[in-house]
Parts: sequence; structure tokens; C-alpha cells
Amino acid sequence: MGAGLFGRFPETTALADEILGYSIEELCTRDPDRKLRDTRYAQPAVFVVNALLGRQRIEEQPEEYPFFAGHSLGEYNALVAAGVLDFGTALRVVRRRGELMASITGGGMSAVQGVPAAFVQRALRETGLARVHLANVNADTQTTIAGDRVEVAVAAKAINALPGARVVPINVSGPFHTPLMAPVVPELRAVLDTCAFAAGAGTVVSSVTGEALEPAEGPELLARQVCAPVQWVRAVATLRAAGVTDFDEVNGSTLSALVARIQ
Amino acid sequence: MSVAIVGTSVELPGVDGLDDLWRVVSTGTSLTRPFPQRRREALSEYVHYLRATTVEPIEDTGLDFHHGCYLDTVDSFDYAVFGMTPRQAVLTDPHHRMVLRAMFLALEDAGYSADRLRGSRTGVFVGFATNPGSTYMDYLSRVEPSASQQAITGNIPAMLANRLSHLLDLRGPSLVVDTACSATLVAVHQARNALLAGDCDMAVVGGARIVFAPVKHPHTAIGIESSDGVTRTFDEAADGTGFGEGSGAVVLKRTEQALADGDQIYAVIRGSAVNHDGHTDGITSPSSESQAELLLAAWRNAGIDPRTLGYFEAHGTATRVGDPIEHEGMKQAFARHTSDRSFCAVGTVKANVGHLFEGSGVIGLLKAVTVLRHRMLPPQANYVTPNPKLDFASGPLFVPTALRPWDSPQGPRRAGVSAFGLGGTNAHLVVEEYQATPPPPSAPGEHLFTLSAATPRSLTGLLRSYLRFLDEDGLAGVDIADVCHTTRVSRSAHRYRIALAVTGTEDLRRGIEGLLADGRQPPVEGPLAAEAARYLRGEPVDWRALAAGRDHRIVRLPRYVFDESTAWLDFPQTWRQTMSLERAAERHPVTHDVELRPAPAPLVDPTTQARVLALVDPATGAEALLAPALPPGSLLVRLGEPVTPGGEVFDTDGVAALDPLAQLVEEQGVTHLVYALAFEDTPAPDVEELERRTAKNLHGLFHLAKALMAAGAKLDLVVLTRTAVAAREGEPGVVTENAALVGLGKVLVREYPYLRVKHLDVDPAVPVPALRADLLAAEYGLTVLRGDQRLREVFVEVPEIEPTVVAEGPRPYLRSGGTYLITGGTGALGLAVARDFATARPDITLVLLSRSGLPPAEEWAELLAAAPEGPLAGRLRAVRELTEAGVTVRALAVDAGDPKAFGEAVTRIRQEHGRIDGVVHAAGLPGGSTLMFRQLDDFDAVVRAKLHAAFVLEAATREDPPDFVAHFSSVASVFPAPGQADYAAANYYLDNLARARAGGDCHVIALDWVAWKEIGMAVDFGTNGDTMFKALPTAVGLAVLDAGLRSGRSRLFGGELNYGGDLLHLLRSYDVGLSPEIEATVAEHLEAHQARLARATEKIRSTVAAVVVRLEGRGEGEYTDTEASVARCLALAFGYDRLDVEADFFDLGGDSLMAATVANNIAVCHGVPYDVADLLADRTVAEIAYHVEELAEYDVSSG
Repeated sequence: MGAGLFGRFPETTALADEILGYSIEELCTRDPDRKLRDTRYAQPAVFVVNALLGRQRIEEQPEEYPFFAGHSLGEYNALVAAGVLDFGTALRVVRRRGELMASITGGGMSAVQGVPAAFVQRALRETGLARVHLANVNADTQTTIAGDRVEVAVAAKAINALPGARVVPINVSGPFHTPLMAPVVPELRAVLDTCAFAAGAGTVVSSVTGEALEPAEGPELLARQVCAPVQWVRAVATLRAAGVTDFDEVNGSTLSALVARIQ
Repeated sequence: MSVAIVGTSVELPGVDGLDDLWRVVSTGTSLTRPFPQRRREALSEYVHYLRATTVEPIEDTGLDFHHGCYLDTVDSFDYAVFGMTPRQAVLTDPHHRMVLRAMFLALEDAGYSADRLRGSRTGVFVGFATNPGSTYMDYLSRVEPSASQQAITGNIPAMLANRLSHLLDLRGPSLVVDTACSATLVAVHQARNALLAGDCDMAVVGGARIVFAPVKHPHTAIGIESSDGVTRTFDEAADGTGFGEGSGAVVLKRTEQALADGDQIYAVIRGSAVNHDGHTDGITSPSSESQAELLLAAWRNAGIDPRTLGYFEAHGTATRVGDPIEHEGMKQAFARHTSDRSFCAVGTVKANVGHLFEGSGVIGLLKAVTVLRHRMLPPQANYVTPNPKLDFASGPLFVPTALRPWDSPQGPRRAGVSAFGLGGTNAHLVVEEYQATPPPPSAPGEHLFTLSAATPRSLTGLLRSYLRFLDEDGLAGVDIADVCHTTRVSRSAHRYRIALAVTGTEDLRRGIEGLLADGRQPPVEGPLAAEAARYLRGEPVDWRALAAGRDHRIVRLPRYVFDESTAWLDFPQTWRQTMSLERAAERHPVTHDVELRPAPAPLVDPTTQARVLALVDPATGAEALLAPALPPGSLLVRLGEPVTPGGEVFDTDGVAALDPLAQLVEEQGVTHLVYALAFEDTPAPDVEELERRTAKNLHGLFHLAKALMAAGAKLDLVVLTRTAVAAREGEPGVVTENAALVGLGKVLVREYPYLRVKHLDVDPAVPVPALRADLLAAEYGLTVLRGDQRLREVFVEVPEIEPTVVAEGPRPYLRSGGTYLITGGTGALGLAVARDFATARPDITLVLLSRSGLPPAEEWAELLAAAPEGPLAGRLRAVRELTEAGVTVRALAVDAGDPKAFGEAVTRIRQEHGRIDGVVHAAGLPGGSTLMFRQLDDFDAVVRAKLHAAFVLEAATREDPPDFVAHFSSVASVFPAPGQADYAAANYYLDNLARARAGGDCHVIALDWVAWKEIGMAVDFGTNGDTMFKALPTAVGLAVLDAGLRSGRSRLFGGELNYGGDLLHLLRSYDVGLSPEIEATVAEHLEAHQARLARATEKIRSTVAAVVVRLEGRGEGEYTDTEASVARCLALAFGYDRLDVEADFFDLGGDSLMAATVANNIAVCHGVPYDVADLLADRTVAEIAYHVEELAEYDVSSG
């Protein structure tokens, strides 16, 4: 991941090493201790690679990007790219976020394909389970559910009974983007409250509300983000309503594929 | 450049290695005997089963097995050495296992172990053929069909070679040769060529053969079998060849390479040739001429004078035809070089060990090698009276009858080896003895002797085997340094190891005896201590350091001793009880109908807390009729009035317009939403009104459903219409267009199960209590209320029509000279009907109407030439055939769904042809995505092609209606699938229209088609398989149409229920009743299905319960019951008798193929939902058990 990238941005890479206390390049390109599977390391690693790729993209294509959005962790990259957060500040938060998220275990997550989010919501309501929730609304017929591992499994069977539905387990350690993450919110909020959110050069659409993010509400929204569903469909709809027709994805093509599946 | 044989292995009944083979050969022994009792017992029930299950019955009078040269056991294997799990070993063809073993031993004999082979350019060549009807895979797939997938890699012939290459990381060619009986000898030729061409630096060639079930049966003989299993080659009494079993392998290298590597050389292959008989009397008839050519080619290749040959290993199958031809071929070939008589001994090992078919060539080669090495000519077995037809005296050959010395004063001894394939592929090798120069003796001193094995048992066996070898003077004259070198490089790669520092054979014997007595490794002292210690710790050791200073040689030593366990699936002795052969040939009708039958009033739960919201159109009488029936506190919203006081106005124009309603539903906790907009009391008089109504009523329901789904609502949706459904055939005044809502409603619940739909079609005479009861009752689907009468849909058989073939003779419904309109006429179904009509009545005019029409006639030739196989060309040819049959064909490009264009087209046809005598309305567009993502335009287009077209057709022919109109409808109007909302709506309209028109001047019939098997929409979309119904063959579909048109019925549902299919249970999931006859048959089949499932579950449980496995890996040794049962599930898959509670599924040898079975077994045995994804996440017995317990606990706590 990111091979060749770090050499292009030596100062930022050095800053990341200093903040993290280890070599980000070694982690990303060689991962000698197989740490990338660990949320605590994976989140800073993905964040840094995204940030560098974002810088590179903006340098290569100096056209204006008036809008930014990111999915879950990617929202921090969107904020950095838009100039709302500076890189170092964001990395410090991301590092803490990773640690906090990793502290909640016993969770499971499954992707649900083939049926609209409304159907999934209704099916979850019908199961009567309290510890499984809609976690991502990614595309018209693509969502994820997360929560207690056993309850996710039980809910998956119920959702599978919906015509056309396919439920596929995803390998994550915690019940991310569900109320089960609430215990870590206060501490994350405390970290975020120390950060400076600037006006920025572009609009960031929040994946929590699906609406444009006001810098002042940044700490609140980013803290809430870990226990609220990712409203990607809503964010894309807002962007389109604002006139956005082209979506440039910085790292990979997952989000572009989702955008293509939003009517 | 010659190729040397540097390693050998051979296993035959009572023969283990080359020395044993020589013993059998040199004494002229014949190994023929009865089929061993143990194998007989293991197989007899299987044979009975096979006989019982053939389509043409075989009289099962008893079991008689051929005599032959049989192995005692073919059911054991040392899975660990070959990197398999016990379960994989069980699922692997015995041939596969034998070939692996033979090649492994030959490589070991050549001085190669895994360490020395890894990554080398070694080729693997196997001669093999699967023999139809008696493969292990056939057996497996009958005993345990569920294992078939897992068994694939153990039963594909290519894997015979590929698995060894994979296991030992060999990079040379890896392939299986199949030329029937010459296969292994051809494989040797191929390997030699590969070595000479530089494709590899070493090659192992092997083959194996067992006879799975040598049952005597007249149909299975191929004509070469000996009557008593004894092979009497060249004897007067010869009548064929006996079966032989066993395996053999050789390792080959370029000779100079072998010399450089210090290999032992058994013999040298000087030359070889392969040819084919070409065209002979029959494909199995040999040719002496070709055989002679073969020998001449091989001799040329070897560069030898055949006069120098002293021994000839003939193919010699001992058949009356084959032996004289082979003899003749040999004579002809020799005659080209010499007229000398009786100088070359001839024989064949088949007389000793039987015919190993594909494996026989390498056995013949191995025999020739032993003859060369012993320099003795062995007597031919079973040779008593020379066959007078062979006349050896006049030729170069003679048959030895006693063991005699083979002198060769002129030069090295040479032998030839032949093998001929049943299909005509012949191979011949020229082999020459090799005399090694004695090696320089090693310096006295200690040498490090090392041995290893994969299991302790094998190691003990090996040590004993070495002791025996020493006792038999196996090491006489062999340098101890070479012995130690050989064991180090070729016997030392396994896990359990011993090392001894020895100075000579006596020293070695004492060391081994000590090891066997003490059972543990004594410390190695002195200069070799460091290497020995490293070796014993399992670390890599570079033996070259120890070998420095002298050219060591590989010497013959005892082979590896396998730790074998049973690897065989037992045939269930209870098969007679578990299978039923009496599967009566059931016949079910193809034709069905849906009737509206009287039904009792529904039960209403008095405790139902209904919150009703009714939607009405104030322009209709809906409110007047409905309001009294609504429970107190119900809400009512009128079209055109605000949804909530001061709120938005209720209209049905677009899904957004219905969002406020969906919101109201949520806020008010509405449980029953009554959609009563389609309440007009008279049919639409014209297209304009039809358009208005479909927009308001049908599109309104479409938008409402979308809004409710988007809101995630859960409620009963009651669609209320007034006399939209024809309650009986020919009911007058039916508002047919509103019946399309019935079809739409049927689909909603199938896409979104929380929206349950009941359609109530009422007349003004319906009593208020009856209406209220049906509004609130938990009975879904269509209910028709006419006054006190209550009718429900029932799916019934129509057995009186037997449309298996289109009836012969005149078609009463087709007029001579008539004009017939087919909409969708250039589609596959339309053209099939056209062809059918044309065949019956060639003097008609057919008007084929379709959106695309046909290109102008003058362009046809060019279009046909441009894409002769394209879909257009097919249509053009079909139309041309119609014309050629005499039919006048008109093609019109008109969209039937466009009322104006279609109406004009119908009028024009009537003007031009006087009258339209009949119509087949086959136009249709397929449905698309589910409602949530369906756009109104697409929905509308599907509806129009059927609904609007039928309406327009009727209007445009009202003055002079056709004799018949056949509407092509669909299974979707009765049993729809998700995504068919529009299609079901349109087709339900057609069904209902036909019922309403019954008894009129025009015979209107709707034909509900299931998927057509060979043509049409279902084929285009790949949905033409058997589902709940069997797909309809074209001929049967046309016959149903014919029967329907003859019958005067208003509807026929064309499709046979697929009672044996997996989807049958879905039939009951629809809100359509089943007739008692159908219900009984469905129940019977579902019960049988349940019973099969229960048996399968029970079988899994009992099989798992019978597994004995010991758990280990936890210090305190305490394991939960769940861990124990999970372990049994895993052990069943792998075959282990012990399992570490923390061992990873993949490390145990698991793969994704197995995972599905294992997960299913875990789920079944523990009664929890457990699937592959769970298994792949958990991976260890401990984790799986923990997860299973959690699931079970959840299940208990949630009741």
C-alpha cells in the first residue's frame, strides 16, 4: 500500500512518523509484524496513504475541487483535503480514534446487497434484536449491518429471507457505526474539541447527516460518526443536488462503484 | 546420447521390488489365483446394487469373479507421507495412490528425497486410462454423492502426474499418457524424448492398475480375457490374457548426467520408437507390418544390429490373433537384418503376473532390466505345448523353458521390450546392460548414517527392514560410505529421525539393534556430532561437506516402510432398505386453470386492533359503500383533498405525491390501508378514459407501493375495486381495466414481505359486515364478493385436455382464405404460432405485427449473407418458409402499446382484407427491476403492450369481431416473481378480460404460459429452466394453444407442475388456493422431500456420532461436549483420529470445498444456523464450539 508515495512527500511522511512513533512507510509497504489487520494500525495507515494520494491528485489536477466527502475514516481525509483540518491534527485524532474503536470488541458486520435500506431497517425491527443496527447506507441496494456478533448473525438470516437479499459477513473487529460504539464517544469528543476546524477551501458533505458540514459542528459530528450509520447515499444525493456530476476517488474505486449504484 | 534407468520400484501380488520380480520370473511362476475373499466381500453388495439399478434389468443370479493376479489389498494408504488428510486419501482413486507410491519409491531408490528434488527440473510421466463403468469415482459417487466434489482432485487422471509434481515441487513436464495397453511404455518413450530434448533433467515414469470388480459378465468382456485367468503366451492352449494388478515405476536420466551424479545405473535405454497401426481391419486389429516397422525404427534409433539382441520381452497377450501377428512382425523385422535362427530368447511377463493393461509396459521393461542384471534367460511361464502356428524353429526367436545363462561374448547384453495398445499405438524400447566400474574404496573411519520417517511406526519398520537387509547380506561388497551417503541424501527428509556414526556394516547392525531395543536416539559423539545434532533437530544440513573428497555413489537400500491405514469408503450393506426402486412414473397434466370458487367467510380475530386508513376517489361511490364498513376511528382521505388538515393535497401523480400519505401511515400507526380509488362502476368507454384510469388507479397504486416501501412501512394493503373482476364467465358490465391492480398487488408481497396485500372486488350488494370482515381478516390475495357470495381463487388441473402433440387434421378455428393477425408476430412465439397455422392452413393470410417489423424484402438476401446465424436471419428464414408454404405474409412495424398507431393498423388490415378472422395477441415486453427501482415509463410500457393493445383491438373490431382472440398471458398473473409488477398487472388484465368475454360472439381465450423451454422471452433472459413448473417445450405449448382454441374455454394455464423440483414448496406461499387434487399431490411430494431431508439429517448425525476422535492441545485435558461434537464433525471431514483443539481448519488440510460440508454438518449436528462464513472465521475446534454454544443459547433464550 502506497509504495513510492512516501518518497514523494518526505516531510509529511516524517511528520507522520513523528506523530505515530513508528515508520509509516514500513507499516504500509512491508508490514513486517502483520499489524495492518489491527484497527489501531490500519486506520492511521489508510489515512496517511489517502492523504498523500489526495495531495498528489490535487497537485496533478490543479482544477478546483469545490466539494469533498469521505466514507467513515475517509471523512477525515475529506476534511484535510478541503483544508478544514490540517494533516497533523487529523492524524492525531485518527490515531486515537483507531485505538478507541479497537477497544470495543465482540462485534460483527455484514454487507447486505440486493434490497433497499428501508427493507433492511424493517427486517431489523421485525427481529426485535436490540444490539444490531444499520451501519452503512452505501448505495440503493447496498447497506451494512453491525452490532453484537451473534445478533448480526441472527439478523442476517432474517434479512436473507427477503427476496433478492444477499448477506455477506465482513471481517471487522467491532460494531462500528452503531450505538454499541457509544462508550468511546466522550473521549473521542474530548480529543476533537482540542482541534481547530478552519473554514476551509471547499465544502465537505458529512457522512453523518448527509448535509454540508459546518466547521463549527465538526467535533460533534466526527464524534457521533463512530456510533451513527454512514449516510453515503444521502451524501451523494446532496452532492448531486448541488450540481456535482464527476466524482474523483482518491484511493481505489470502491466509492465510485457505490456512487454508480445510487439512482 | 542414451538414457539411464537410475531407480526402480515394482509392486505386484507377492512382489515388492526388483528382487522379488526376478524370483517370480526366473522360476516361471504364475501368480494367477481367485479374487481375494476380503475384496470379494467388500464388493459383492456393490455389484448387487449395480445390477439392481440398471435400466435394463440384469438377472442377479450370483457372483462369479474372474481369476487373475490380484493384490491382497488396494484399500490402504499412508496419507501423511503424501501430504493428504485421511479423508482425502479415502476419496482418492486407488490407482492414484498406487502410482504416487510407486513413483515415490522409485525416486527414493534413485537416491532422491523431497529435499533433493524440490524445485528440480524433474518430469513426471504416467501411463493411465480410466476404464468406463468401474472407476472408484463411480463407486464414490454412488456411496456418498455429497463427496463427489471433494473427490475431484483425487480422481481426475491428470492429477496422477500433477499431484506428485505439486507435492515434491517438480518443475518438469507432468502429464498422463493414454494409449491403452502401451501407455506406460509410450510414457517411457516420451520421458526419454523429454530428457534428450532438455525439457527436464530427470524423469519418473510410472503406472498402476487394479481391477475394481472383476465380475464375470458377458457384456463386459472385450474379447482378450483368458477363460481361467491364466496367460499362456505362445502356448497352444492360449486363449487370452489374465487380469494383473500392481504398479511400477522407473527413474530416468541422461546417462552422462547419471554418471556425474554418482547414480546407480540399472540399465541403459539405447533407443525407442512409437508408431501406430494405421488403418487395419478394425480399430483393435493389430498389424504385423506396422509392428515390424516399429522394431526397425527402434533399432535404427538405438544404432544397433538386432543380431546383438539376446532377449525379447514381447507384448504377448496370449490371444489367438495377437500372438501370431506379433511373432510374424518380429520375424519380418529380424529378417531384414539376419537369417540366423533361434538366437534371441523371447518371453513375456504377462504369463507371470497377468496383464496390467496401461501399466503393463513398465512391468515388461522392469522384467527386461532384471534379466539383463542377472544375465540369465528365464523360462516362459505357462508354456507347455508350443503353438504350432508360431513356428519358432524357422525364425530368430526361441522360447526358453528353463532358466539358463545368457552369454554375450561379443559385447553388452541387449534386450527389446514391446507394448501394443488396443487402439493401435505401439511402442518398443532397446535396453542394454550397464557394467559399472567398481568405485575406489573409501577411507576407513566413521560415517554418518541417517534415516527418517513420517511416523514413529514407519521408523521402527524401517529399522527392522534394514536389519533384515543386513541379515540377507544386502550390503555385501557395498562400501559403508556409499550406504551412508545414500541414506543421507535420499532417506532423511522426514520428521522422525535417527543418526548413527558407523564404521562398517557390523557397526551399523549393532547401532540399529540398539535403537530398536532402547527406542531412543543415543548421542552421536566425535567429529560427526555437530552435523548429527543439527540433523536430529530437524535443521537443514548440507551433506556435501560430509561427502567431500570422494565421489560417492547411490546404492540400493531397503525402501521406505509406509504407515498405512484404511482408505476406502465402505459400501452400505443396508442399501436395499435405504433406496426405493419403485418410483412410479407419475403423470401430471400440463393444463391448468384458476377458478373462482365459493369460500367460507374469513375468520377475524376479534382482538385485532385495526387502525384503518381509506383512500377514496370522491368521483366514485367508494366512500358510500366503504364508510359503513370501516371500524370506528378509521381515517379517510379523499383524492384531491388535503391528506392532513391544511396539509398537502392527495393525488396520485408521482411517488413524491404519496410521501405525505406514507408519513401519515407511520404517524398514525395505520395497520390497514384501503386503496379504493379504482371504484368506477362502468367500463371505460374509450381510450382516453382508459388512460385516465390507468394513470389514476394503476399508476397511483404503483406510486403508493413505492412510497410505502421507501418508508419501510408494515401493514395490510387492501385494494378495493368494484366489479373489476369477472366473478363468473361472461359476467356483464365488468370494469376490466381495474383488474390490472390485482396483478400488481400479487407482486408487492413477493418483493417486500411487510406489505401484505388483499384485493377485494365487490359489487354494491355486498353486506357491510362481510366487507368489514374481509377488510380486517388475515386472509390475503384476491377475494370477490358478490352480494352474500364470497369467491376465492383456486388453481385447478384441467386434465381433460391432453395436449402432447398438435392434433392432426383440420383446424376448425382457421378459415380457408382467412386473415389472421399475430401481434408480437416476428418474435419467437409469434413465429412458432405462424408456422403452426401455416402448416395446418397454407391458404391463409398472416399479418405479423411487431414493433420492429421486418426489413424490406429486397434487403433480405444481403442481411442473410451478412449474419447468417444472427437472430434476424432466423426470423427472415422463418418468414420465408411461411411464404414458401403458400401463406400470404404481411409484416407491419407497429407498436401494439401505442393505441393510436395500433388502432389505425387494425382498421387498415380490416379495410384491406375485409375482416380479421382471428388474432393471437402475443406482443409483450418483459418486466424489469423490482418496484422500488422501477420507473413509471418502463412500468407503463410493459402494461400497454398487453392491456392497452387488448382494449384497442376490441374497440377496433367491435362491429365485426374476429372468430377468436387468443391473448398470451403468463404464469406471472397467478404465481408472479419479484420484478414482475407490471407484467403481472398486464397479464391479469388479459386473463380477466377473457373471462368477462366468455360466451360472446368472439372466442376470447387467455393462455397463461409458464416459461417456454426452447424459444421466447425466457430463453432470451436465461429463465427457461424448470422452476415451480417445468419449462414448456414448443410442441407442447402449440398443442395447448390448439386445444384451447378448439375448446371454447376462456382460459388455459399451460404448464406442468414440477413436483420433483426443489421449488415446489413455493406453490403454497402464494395467496392462491390449490385444488384438493393438487394440494394432495403437493403434500405427498413435500412429505417425501421432508422425509429425505430428515433421513439426510439423521444420517449426518449418526455418521458424526460414530466418529471417534481424541481431542488434545489443552494442558488440563478438559473439553466441553460441544468441543467434542465439533471435533467429530471436523474429524469426519479430515479422517484424523486426534485433533488439536486449537488447530486451524486450513492447517489441518481444509479447503473451501470442504468448508461447506463441514459447516453444514456442524449446523445439523448442533441444530444451529452455522454456515461457511462462520467456519472460515472461527477456524478452530475451540472457537467453533464457543460460537455454536452462543448460537444455541441465543436460540433457547429467544424461544
